[in-house]
Amino acid sequence: MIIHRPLKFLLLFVGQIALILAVYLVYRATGLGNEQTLQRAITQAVQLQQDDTAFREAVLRTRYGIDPNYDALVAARLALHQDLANLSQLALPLAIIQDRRRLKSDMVQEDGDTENYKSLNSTVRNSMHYFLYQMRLLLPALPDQGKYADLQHELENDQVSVLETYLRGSQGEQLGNSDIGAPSVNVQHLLMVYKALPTRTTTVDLLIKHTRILAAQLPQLLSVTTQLTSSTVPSDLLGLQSDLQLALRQQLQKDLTYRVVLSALFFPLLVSVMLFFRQNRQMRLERIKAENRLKILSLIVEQSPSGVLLTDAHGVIEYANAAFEESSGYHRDEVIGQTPRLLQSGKTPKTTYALLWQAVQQGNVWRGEFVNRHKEGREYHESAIVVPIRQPDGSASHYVAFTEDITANRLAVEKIYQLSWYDALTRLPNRALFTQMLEQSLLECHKNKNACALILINLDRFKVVNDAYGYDKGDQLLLAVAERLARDIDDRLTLARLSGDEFCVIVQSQKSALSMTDFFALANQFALDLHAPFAITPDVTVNLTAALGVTTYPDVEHDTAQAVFIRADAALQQAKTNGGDQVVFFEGRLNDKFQQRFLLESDLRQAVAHGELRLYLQSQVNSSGELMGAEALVRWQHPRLGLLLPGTFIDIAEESNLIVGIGVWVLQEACQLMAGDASAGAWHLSVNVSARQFRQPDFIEVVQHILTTTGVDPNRLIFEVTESLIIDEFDAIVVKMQQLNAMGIRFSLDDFGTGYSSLAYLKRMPIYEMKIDKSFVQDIPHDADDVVLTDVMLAIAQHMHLQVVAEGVELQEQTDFLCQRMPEVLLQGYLYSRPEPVQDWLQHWVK
Amino acid sequence: MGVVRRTVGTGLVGAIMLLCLSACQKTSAPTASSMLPPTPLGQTQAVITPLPETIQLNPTKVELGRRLYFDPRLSSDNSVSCNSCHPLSNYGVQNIPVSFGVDGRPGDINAPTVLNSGFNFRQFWNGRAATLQDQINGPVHNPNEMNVHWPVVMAKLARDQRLENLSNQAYGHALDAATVRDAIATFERSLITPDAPFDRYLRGDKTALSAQAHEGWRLFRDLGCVSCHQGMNIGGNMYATFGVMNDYFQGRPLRKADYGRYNVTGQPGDKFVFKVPSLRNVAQTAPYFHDGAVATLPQAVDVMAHTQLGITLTTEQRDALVAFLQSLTGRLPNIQP
Repeated sequence: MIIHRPLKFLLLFVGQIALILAVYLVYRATGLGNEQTLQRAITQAVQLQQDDTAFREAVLRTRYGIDPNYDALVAARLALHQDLANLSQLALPLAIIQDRRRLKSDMVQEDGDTENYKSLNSTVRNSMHYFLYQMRLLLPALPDQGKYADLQHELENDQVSVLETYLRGSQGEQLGNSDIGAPSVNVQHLLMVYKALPTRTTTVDLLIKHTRILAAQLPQLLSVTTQLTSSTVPSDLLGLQSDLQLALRQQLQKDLTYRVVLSALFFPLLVSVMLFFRQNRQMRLERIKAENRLKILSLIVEQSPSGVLLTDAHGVIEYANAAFEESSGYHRDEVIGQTPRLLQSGKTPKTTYALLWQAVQQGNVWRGEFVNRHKEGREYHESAIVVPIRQPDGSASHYVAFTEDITANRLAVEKIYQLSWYDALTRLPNRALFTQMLEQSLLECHKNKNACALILINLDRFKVVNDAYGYDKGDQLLLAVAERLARDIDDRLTLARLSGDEFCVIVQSQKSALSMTDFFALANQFALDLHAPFAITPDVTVNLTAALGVTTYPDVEHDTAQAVFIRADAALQQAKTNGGDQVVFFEGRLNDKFQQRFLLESDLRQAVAHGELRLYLQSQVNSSGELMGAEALVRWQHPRLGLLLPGTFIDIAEESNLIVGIGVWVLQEACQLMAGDASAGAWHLSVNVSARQFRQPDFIEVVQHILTTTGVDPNRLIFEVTESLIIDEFDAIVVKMQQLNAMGIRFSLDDFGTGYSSLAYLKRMPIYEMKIDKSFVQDIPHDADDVVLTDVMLAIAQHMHLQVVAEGVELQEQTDFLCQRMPEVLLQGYLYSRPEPVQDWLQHWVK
Repeated sequence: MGVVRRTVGTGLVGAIMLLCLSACQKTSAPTASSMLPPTPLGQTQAVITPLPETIQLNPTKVELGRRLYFDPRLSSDNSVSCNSCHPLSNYGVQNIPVSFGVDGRPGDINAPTVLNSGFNFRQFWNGRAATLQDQINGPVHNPNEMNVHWPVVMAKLARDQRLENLSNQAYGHALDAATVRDAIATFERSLITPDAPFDRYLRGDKTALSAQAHEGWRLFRDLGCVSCHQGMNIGGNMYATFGVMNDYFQGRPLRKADYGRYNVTGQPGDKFVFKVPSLRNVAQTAPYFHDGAVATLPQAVDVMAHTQLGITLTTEQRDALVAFLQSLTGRLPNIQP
């Protein structure tokens, strides 16, 4: 075919324009700068949200006095401004800049509120503190007759209503409800009552001053706190985040479009190349020029960032460029002569290929995506355009495919999602996602009118594991904990990791409404799950316990995620304060608390009769690890709540006198066990005897009866008592102890060192044995204080010829320390044995 | 629980000592409490935390900042440096009500110490600067202090090859006004005074406080001082009205500086509102308050009790509080000009 001159010039012109456009589009298509900026902005927005949550938490924490200083609040505020400054340094689309401006102006507004809040909160807390205290001095000093009795009554009422406003206000703050009644009425009344008082003392003067301050500043504090907790900033942040996500998706889409257009532009170039192939050989001069152009055009095709594949009409590959080699992993020599089926991974739907052939055979351009297999075996995503090259008669002589590897885009989107919302170690939802899920759950709760619950789980003494075994093992353990907790997760439950050793579970009632009891049983199950030992290396196992805080929601009509979290956290702090290894419910409303206790107490009344109590034993061994005895412990197999630890029910038992019956049951079981011991071994059993039980007038008769009926050798029985036993009626108690002594029963003093530790009493009591509390044992030999205290206690015991049992022995080094100082010491703890049901224990230890 | 156990543990050692002294003596109940309200409840965490022992900063920036801090070329007539009004050898203060700038002109407010200022939430008595970098513009531009403008200062410093070298090393470019501010701010952030007896007490050394200072610490909490003076810097993280209970300015003419934060915001509620100053090293930084009008620490304690708490202290209470405040004096950083 001969190319005419004007056509040639036209081709040249089109070619050059295409070249310029191509360069421009290559530049735009590789505009990864924008994409990276957006990704950085998203990271920054997530950071902003986290810091904003921290800030709002700090406001409520200082308002409640959980944080006694403002350092955390100030730091969170600074962090927020730093985040905003970082975000401002990024070049972002206009929509995002508008989001950012709105955020900034809201934050500047809030800076003023924050400063007001701190000043008001300090003044009001201080005045409340004086007000309540001075009131406590004033009230009893009033004469309790005539008009003063009425005054006293009115003052008491006013005091309660001021306190209520102070506290109820805080609930209003959580609700983001600005409609709070001002306490001014009470205060005016109070000021009038002060005037009617008989004398003006310093107390009254101070009361008047602080009452005036409360009148002026308490309503201001309530309103500014409400402004801070119902701020528009969190919603600004959500808007910013969703706009950023949208912008990123658009950017990725835009990049893709540019690349596709770029590929399409290469098509005329390729046609030119092919036309030049068919040039008339006779036109030599033209040919030399053409060859030059051909070289340029080939170079462009060769260097195109898109993959280019040329096949004949049967799909046999004739040409592949460098970008194709790069994305497929095959050298062109390996694919030329083959068909593109070589690349199929089996993941591309069959219909895709059918549609492709249908389109190109009709002479149309086809666009779509493939999932192909790289030469190394991995899969990659590819977007493709396939164009048929038609003969003058209309039939296709060749097909050209322009392809684009989009795997990286896919992965980038995925990774950003993972980083923003999931914890890198455990792959569980992180705090940011958790917060959104909790909000979602609240919405659904409101809709379905079902009660849901939030359970916070904090591992006890986890830092010790990190210190002892290093952070690697610590992380490994956290992973194991996450897996353990995940075992109980079903579609009602969502598990998340909030920070270091803090996990949480959102419990969502779906169809069937869950009750308080169900929530408790769930939390209790998590606590029990963690009790099984964790093997972090083949020869190191770690025992863990956890403190759990639970709250139900919605608590009030407009409950917020923040308020729910604060409640659960308060319960968690209580569980920690109580020593961990237990579940505590948030007791926001007095009724719930009493109701819970009442229910548990009425169940406990039936427990002995229904045979729900279980005897557990924990061995006590000597320094060579030989069994010397065991402590008898009690568990309660509750019909609905599952297995309960004593921490959950012993306090209730003590308060309701049920402890007496439980104590008798344990004693009876323990004696029967020893009497029925075929081995007639030399081991003893230690049974806890509460002060209440001991003070029963018929205690000695009951013991005597049990000894006689079971026929047990009293010398194998040890009663563990605590110092609280001897606070009252010391002499009478000692007489009783001596009587029991005479029968052959020995006494062990439990928890020595944690109570009064009065040596004077110790000297006069007929004690055989002293138990060193685990709170001392667990930190030796590394904590200098505990080393000294343990040394002192061992010295006292040696001096007074007392046997010693060390409780809570978990590590070999603790055993080494104790045995070095007192070779005859007995050891009790996880290092040797966990508390086990009687049958298991007999099997392990007595055979 | 840990805290309770420690206390009991200490009690146990005490019990043994008692046993050695006398045979069987019942421990007497604690004496009836005084007229003071007990410490507010719910404060299980530390209301005051100790200063860190060290602080990590870029040493080249600190060195550049140190040279600039002592450099009088930052003033119009090369007579006043930062150190002139905040001498580091004297706890960062001059112990005079107001300092004097170029031509011996008096300032209009008491110059606060630079020590630990990096831990303050904002700078100046009225908090008008968010950062130490911003703060530096204040004295440089103030006609009663350094009375100069940055272009003039930069023209003078530009000839100093040593400063140029340090700037290139620390910031990767030549010295400019922002670099000068950042370097001085970084140096100031390095000026911390750890190891005060009270900090040692907080870290567990129960012998670090005298019995009187210990009683002062109790009063500090029980009387309510700690409502505002809290956190690591014992203040310096919030604003408060000067004169919550009684008027400090009664009977004296008001000057502009007395209006405090109102001068920054123009909000009526911000009249007489000031940044709560840090009490670290307070025993060394007389005279007191924004106007430097109160000469001694015992007087200052009385003024605070009267204006902020509405109470009159007994001599014993005041002396105990002063003893406590003296325990807040830390170790001076070792800085040579």
